[in-house]
Amino acid sequence: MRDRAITFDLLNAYVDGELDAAEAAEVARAVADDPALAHEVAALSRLRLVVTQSMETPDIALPQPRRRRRTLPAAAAAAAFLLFLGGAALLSGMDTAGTQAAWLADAWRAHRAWPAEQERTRPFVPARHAGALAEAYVPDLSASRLTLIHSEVRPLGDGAQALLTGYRGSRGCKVSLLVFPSQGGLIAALRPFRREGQEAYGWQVGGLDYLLLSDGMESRRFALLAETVQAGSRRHAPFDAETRTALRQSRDRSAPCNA
Amino acid sequence: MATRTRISNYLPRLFGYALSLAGDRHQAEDLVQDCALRALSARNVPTDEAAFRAWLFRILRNAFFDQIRRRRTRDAHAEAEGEKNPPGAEFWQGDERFITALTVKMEMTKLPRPQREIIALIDIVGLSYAEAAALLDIPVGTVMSRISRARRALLDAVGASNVHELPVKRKRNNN
Repeated sequence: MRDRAITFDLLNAYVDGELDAAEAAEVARAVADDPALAHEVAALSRLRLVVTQSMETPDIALPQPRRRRRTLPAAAAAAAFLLFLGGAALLSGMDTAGTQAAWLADAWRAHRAWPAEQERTRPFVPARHAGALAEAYVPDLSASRLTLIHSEVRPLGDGAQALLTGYRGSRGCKVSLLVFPSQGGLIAALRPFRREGQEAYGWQVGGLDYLLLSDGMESRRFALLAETVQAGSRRHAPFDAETRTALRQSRDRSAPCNA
Repeated sequence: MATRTRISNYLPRLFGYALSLAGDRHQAEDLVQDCALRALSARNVPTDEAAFRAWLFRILRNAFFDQIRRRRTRDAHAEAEGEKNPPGAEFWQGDERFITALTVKMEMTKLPRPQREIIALIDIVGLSYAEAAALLDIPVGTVMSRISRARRALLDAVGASNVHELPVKRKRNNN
């Protein structure tokens, strides 16, 4: 006869080693006398074991804290280099507003036109949009705290169709990625554009032009973002853990876009 | 031991706990990164290992709720679901053979967050009931009933699942 009811709560505590010696002995006696309880204990023990073993941990790179002033990761160094290139291009007047092609002017208009304040988030690009440019690469920028909230297919330049995906940040950032059949103005390497406080980077991959546009985002952060998306578009693969870390740190170190 | 190394030792368990909170592998990775960044930036790091572990997992939990607050999408329904008593008889009467890595992994993702969280804290992180109670800021008795309900829900889900792992054929040793 049991001294008290053996509840499921008690059996769990027994399996977890949470009972004192007297309680554990009481439960052990009850389990020994009752096949149904023995079945419960066996099931709980197995469940614990399986839960523990079912965990597959990905490779996670530990980030560098801000107050430790160490060498920047390679991606950030590359971003600084791109920033330098962007500055050089700006100084040389290579990509000022006056020399921009029609497709670039259309891209700026498209970037301004979509409403960043819309509430509905779109975790994926609708098939009817993505299908228009089946080879287009649409990155997940959540590591940089940018959420995909908009997508559309719109005309660009001389009758080309462009897939526009819009991302919104939590601190006022707005980023557009336009993908369209090559218009001849971009090459495989990143090409920076500046206009009235707005920035863009363009590049070409496999017959498609990519144009990443932003306004208000800190240049260094945007340069890293552009380089990352460019690399992703070449591989057509999600960002690895190190890249996500670099994006996250870059975002955390940057000023809000609406500052 | 350097804080970096100490954190690295907990990475698998941090990820397991983060996954139980976020329910998504990418978000879980981000959470672990966030937690590690906060821990590495801290001025005062507990030297005692038990205190360090509790501190680390509290940082991760706070990071998760900070994210929730930022997104303003806290799922009150899921919170409430986690406290409901499971249906059916008190004891589980299913077939133990159904408890496999595949079924458990599948069904864990379907549990409400509080149930995933308590299972992760006890079974993956390896906290005692008292340590989990301190982390969650609830009485030990609540931990006891919550882990019991969570496991019962998981067992019920596993029992109801028709997915079984195929037996692996072992090669005969001809030697």
